[in-house]
Amino acid sequence: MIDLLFSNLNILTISLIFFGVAFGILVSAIPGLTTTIGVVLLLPFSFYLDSASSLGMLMGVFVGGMAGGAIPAILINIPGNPASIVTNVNGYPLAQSGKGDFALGLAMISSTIGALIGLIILFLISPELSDFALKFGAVEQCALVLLGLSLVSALSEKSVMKGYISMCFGLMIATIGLDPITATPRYNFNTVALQQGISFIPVMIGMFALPTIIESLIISKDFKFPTLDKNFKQCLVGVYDAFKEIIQSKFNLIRSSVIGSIIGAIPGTGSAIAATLSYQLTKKIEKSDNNERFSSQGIISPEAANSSMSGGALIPMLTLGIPGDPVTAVMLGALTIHGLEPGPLMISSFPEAYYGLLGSFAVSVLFLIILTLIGIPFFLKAIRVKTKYLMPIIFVLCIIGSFALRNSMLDVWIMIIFGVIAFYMNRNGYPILPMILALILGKILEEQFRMSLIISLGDPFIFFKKPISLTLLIILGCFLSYIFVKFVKNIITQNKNV
Amino acid sequence: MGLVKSMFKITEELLFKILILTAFGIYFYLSLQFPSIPMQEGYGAGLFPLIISVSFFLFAIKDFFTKNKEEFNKNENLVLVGFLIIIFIPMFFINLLGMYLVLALFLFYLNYVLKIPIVKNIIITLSTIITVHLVFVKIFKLSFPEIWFVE
Repeated sequence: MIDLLFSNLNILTISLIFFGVAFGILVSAIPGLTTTIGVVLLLPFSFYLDSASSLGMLMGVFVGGMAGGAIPAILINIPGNPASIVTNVNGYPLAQSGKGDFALGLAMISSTIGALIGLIILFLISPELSDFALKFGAVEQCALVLLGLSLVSALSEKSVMKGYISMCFGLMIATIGLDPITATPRYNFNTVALQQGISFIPVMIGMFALPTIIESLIISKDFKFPTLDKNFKQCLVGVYDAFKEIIQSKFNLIRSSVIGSIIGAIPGTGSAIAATLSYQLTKKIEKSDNNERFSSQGIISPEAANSSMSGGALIPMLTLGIPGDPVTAVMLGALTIHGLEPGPLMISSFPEAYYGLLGSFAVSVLFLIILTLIGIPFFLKAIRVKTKYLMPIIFVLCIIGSFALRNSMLDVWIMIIFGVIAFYMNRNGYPILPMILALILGKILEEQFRMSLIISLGDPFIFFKKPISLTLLIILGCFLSYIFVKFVKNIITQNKNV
Repeated sequence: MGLVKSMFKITEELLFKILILTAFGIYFYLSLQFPSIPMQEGYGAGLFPLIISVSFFLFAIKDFFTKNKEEFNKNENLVLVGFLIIIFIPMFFINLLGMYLVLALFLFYLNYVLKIPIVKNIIITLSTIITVHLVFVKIFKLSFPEIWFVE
């Protein structure tokens, strides 16, 4: 098992992982860009690279991105990505008091250790889960995908209803093209181009990257980084102090990392929830939010949680085929590009790819350690680029990335149209993730659903006759009942207020 | 009464909801064109779309009758319309203009809107196009639509 971890690594793969980690840190460090955009921008390169290199590079972006978001959060009080949503609360005051290097050191080192703990948990738990997952047939897979989609839709954003609408919209798009069982053309309006269906790659590129570009056009807002008047040696002293502080706060670090991994393993939760929950718990345990001691704890806790979440989020993605957050949703797409089908059979069918991915994760963490220890002063200089210079280039990359899929302008049109749809979805509170997820999993859901009906000779009660699918459907039922009860309670409260 | 009034006040969210329901209507109508009866290969191609349509309708109709929050922001929507017109027209004529010219137009336009000085704008546009050519065409062997007179 251990030998499979690093069997795919060669010079190219290692270089691309290094590039991915550095790119991930930089992308998340620039306000307005997120780790998801970073992964999406590099996704088209997957077509030109072998699976180990391309997945290693994306894994690097994922791991680096979780750490990089803390840089603008600490320096200019704007979280670089949702994962750093609470890091600025304590990090920014520290930076203002001239301890920016110390605060960054805390964030980066706790991120690295958090990612390491996440990796260990992923390594220990996923084979066990996968053994169990081997019992999954068409009926069980159908119930599982349904449960995963429902969880993601309900947990992703404020309105559950809007989450479900987004999911249904994704499923609708997934039905375009040939039907998976009888190959009947559907919704293609008699065009050959639409017979293959709508690929999720241009949709993903458009939906994640284009709204940011449109926003920047509308707001015409730019961010500038303040200068940190310290030389390289002084910065390293700050990082060393941070390291000593982290050793003293080891329990907080481990607790937050475990919380992050658990939250990450629940589909649809994401890094922001992991960071916030862990921060709140630390706040309760430390019972203070003003003193200098808590300032450090308040940075260590969310950063360790959001980075360990990256390991946790890979558990459902790799073993069940259900992504834990938007970045893993994109990575799920990257896996399918290379013909790898994440899910219950991933470990047994593609052991090299599976353990190779874990190996890439480990190497990414190693590069994260190197980059964070020596890179802070360099990153502080490198990220002082204005976002307005990047947006047009990102737009060009989006066009080329979509075009590269099939050398077709149709995919570019799809990218722009779905980008505009995502822009309005964002503005009106409709979450994007359920739609993307439904688009990716829709075909599997329909295929397994109809396969189940074929197996049962058309009996829809087959889903209630198998113990695993029955259990999954009971969980789904309980979950939907909980949402319904909450909904009715809200209406009663609203009526009382009126 | 106040809730009903706020529900039907022309807002961006209301228009978006109407669009969602329209999309549902078209999808539902088209899904009826496919067989959904039991066949030898299990149920027909229309069964899954029909199930989605029913769930979608239930959620969309519930969502339609909730209070709308977003006001209609004319200026922001006009910026988006302008962006789309400038993007779609060259894309429509891409076989005539070629990929490089279209990308250069987009870059120049976006740099202009983002208030980048004209000299910098030209430098960024040209250097990006050259990089795109070197990386994607020379290394990754992508074949872009060519400009008509080059073809």
